[in-house]
Amino acid sequence: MYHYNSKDKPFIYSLSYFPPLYRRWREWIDFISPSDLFLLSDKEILERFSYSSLIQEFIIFKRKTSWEDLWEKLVKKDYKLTTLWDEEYPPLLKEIKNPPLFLIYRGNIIGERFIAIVGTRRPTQYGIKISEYFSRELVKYGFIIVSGLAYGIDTYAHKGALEGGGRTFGILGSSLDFIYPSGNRILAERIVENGALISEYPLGTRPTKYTFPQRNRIISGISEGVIVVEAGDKSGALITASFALNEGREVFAIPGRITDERSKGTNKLIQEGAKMVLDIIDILEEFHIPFIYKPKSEVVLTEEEKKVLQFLDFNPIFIEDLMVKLNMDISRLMFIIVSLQAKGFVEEYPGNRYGKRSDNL
Amino acid sequence: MLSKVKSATLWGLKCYDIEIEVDITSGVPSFNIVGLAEQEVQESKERVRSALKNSGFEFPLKRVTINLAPADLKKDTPLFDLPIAIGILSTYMNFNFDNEKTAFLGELAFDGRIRKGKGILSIVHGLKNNSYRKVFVPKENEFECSLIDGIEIYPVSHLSQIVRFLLGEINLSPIKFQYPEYNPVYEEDFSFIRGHYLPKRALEVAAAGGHNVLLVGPPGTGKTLLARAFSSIFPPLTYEEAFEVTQIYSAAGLLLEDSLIQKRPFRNPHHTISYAGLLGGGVSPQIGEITLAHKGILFLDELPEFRRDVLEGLRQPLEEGKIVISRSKYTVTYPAQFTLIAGMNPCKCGYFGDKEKECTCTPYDVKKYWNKVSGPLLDRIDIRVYVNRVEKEKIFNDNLEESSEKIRERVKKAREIQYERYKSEKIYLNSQLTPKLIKKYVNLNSRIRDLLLNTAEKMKLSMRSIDRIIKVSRTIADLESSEEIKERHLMEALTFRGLEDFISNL
Repeated sequence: MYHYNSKDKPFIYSLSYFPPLYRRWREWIDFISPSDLFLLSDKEILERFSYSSLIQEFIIFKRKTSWEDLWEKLVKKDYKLTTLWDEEYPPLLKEIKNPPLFLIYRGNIIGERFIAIVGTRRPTQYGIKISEYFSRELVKYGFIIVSGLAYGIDTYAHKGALEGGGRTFGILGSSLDFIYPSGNRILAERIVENGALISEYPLGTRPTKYTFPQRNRIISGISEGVIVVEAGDKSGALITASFALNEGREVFAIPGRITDERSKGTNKLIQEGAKMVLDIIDILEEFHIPFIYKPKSEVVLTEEEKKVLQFLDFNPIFIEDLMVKLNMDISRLMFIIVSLQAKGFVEEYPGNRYGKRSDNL
Repeated sequence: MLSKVKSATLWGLKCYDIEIEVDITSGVPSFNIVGLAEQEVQESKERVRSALKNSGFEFPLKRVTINLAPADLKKDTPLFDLPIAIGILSTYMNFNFDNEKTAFLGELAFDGRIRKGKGILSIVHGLKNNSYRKVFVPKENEFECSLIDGIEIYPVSHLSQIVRFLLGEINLSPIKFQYPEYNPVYEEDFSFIRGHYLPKRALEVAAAGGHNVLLVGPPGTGKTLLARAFSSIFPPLTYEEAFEVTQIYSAAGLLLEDSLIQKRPFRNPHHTISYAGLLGGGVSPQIGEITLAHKGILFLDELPEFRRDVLEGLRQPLEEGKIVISRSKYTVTYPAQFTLIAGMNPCKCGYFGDKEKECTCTPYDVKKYWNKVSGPLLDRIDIRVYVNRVEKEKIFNDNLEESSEKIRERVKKAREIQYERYKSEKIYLNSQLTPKLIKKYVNLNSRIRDLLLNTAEKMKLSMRSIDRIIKVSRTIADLESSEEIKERHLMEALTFRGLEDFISNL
């Protein structure tokens, strides 16, 4: 039986540079501890293992690499490492079939409730607004939003959580020293300050098409449920959803138009039994969290503002068309829109388009 | 035997006198031209020889040497054919002209005809300023020469004609100075463009304040149409401006049959254009598109497709209204005061911000697309407007849209207000305001300032955006002849921000 000792951390970490042995840790950990693997002499190791080419290779690996150096590099970076046996290791993640032996993270990894929001990298305006909205609202109920730091839905899920003053976790498909996509570096820093950036990969691991599906199991593994906002037929978000399903986590999906490429995946999920989400209550209900009805703060709107608001929708409308409908000149209309924007009712979209703000879903 | 004839050439847009000396001595027959004569001038030997023979004159079977002075100025025009021929003839013919105050310009054909030349207007104008009295020009360039008073201009079509005139056998009458009929024509009109309220208004503001414009929009929404109609709302060229433009076109050899260019130039170079093609330059200083767009409009469609170094080169002319081309062998300055109007798609797929289609680009794709356009160039564009598609019902709307003429009137008035305001400064229009001058001339009262700052915060505007909005609001207020910038002016200016704030917040 293996008894974990926090002094094993450097060895567990260094072992991850030799994946064949690292991945099959369950097979040997009861017979030999990670520290023994590195500290015992070659002869002793060979004695404990029945002879195998794998262990021969490991001995060669051990000769070429120095675990002290590997560990030193990690410590220098100020990255933290938590292993499966540590207190702070996310509890739900421990339960999945093949949890990572350790997580490297920046920020604060301790949290109570986690929910994942995932989706396509090329969202529509609808998807963007929805992910921002759910993220912003769910943090108010104490959820930490988990996502993958990718462009699109992931980005807006993180942003929504930060905007709502909550915490969010970004799970990477590479090691922490390769933030991908690089365009989200600033976002990553903000996540570190208000949550954590997490990776199961040792330093120097570049993202590949194999690492992303692997990291998806962590996204769903940490979380009580996964919300899929928009996903095409073959989206990676569906992989996350199927991981969640296999581990017995809740799967939520936002419905979309049946003709929309980017809603095909989510609609299919609903057809297969995922919970269709029409509002935040649908999510809270599953976790037996009471919905807090907060009366809208009384904002006084002028007659003109009300009139303009009537013509607005969540689908943004082009200002010229609005002018025609309202028969109003541009400067007057802009004045009203700017004031509605200040009061938090209206949001600007690219191309001189305006729509209702998604807080008021 | 020695003779001397005068001619002139253009270097850049400047006219330089050239003295042509012909020396004929006995010796082995030969024909040489010296004095930094380029290929064009070297070849003139064959043309002159043939033209003389075929016109019935004798080509001396002696040693003929031509010198073009000053010898350090490069000469690359075929216009010296005629003066060389006259110089040779005057060694043995008894011509009657004042060779100090008479100049000859013309390219010869083998049969003695005189061909049309480039830049005659500028050269003749320069000769006049250098107090020449007579000049002989190709008959086909007659039309442009009628713009110049104060020098006797004789249009000639054949070598034998000019010879007979110089011998006193026939009479030629000089071109009469004609003040051109001033009648600017506008081919396009805003009344033909349905819908597009916002872009049209943006162009009006741009014309009034001299602001550069960026039209952003999905493919097929009418960006090119709007750009073409842009010149129709500019006030007509003044006579001085028209003359300046005509000189440029004459020098570039692009003058057609009208004597004076009265339409504001509209140049629309393709995005494959080279550096020298757009900005000018080359082995000898060619005139670039930006100079051809002087006092007019330069339209760059598909802006991100232009070569980056070519676009970077636009910065100096946009700032200073001229381009200085410095090469190892020469430095010339060409005027280039133009209004830039650029067109581009909003993103790679073309539908970012479209009201019907959804954009399929990732934020990275969008940013990458915009990064192709140089930031410093974009900073010099005050008005950015999104051109969205027009509702189909509007296309068949019979209500007439406002005509360009009405808009032009407003633009003219707004410009006059600006000339008056900036008369003690070196600038003319709001677009030229520097941050320092904004402080001096643009007063926002505290209420408007607060409104602007609040809005800027809500809309996440950058400092540069705010500066541009202030300039543009100033022009909108000028269009209403309002001394004060009011709330509504500011609000309207907010619609001309384009996509920049969205791109930077992606």
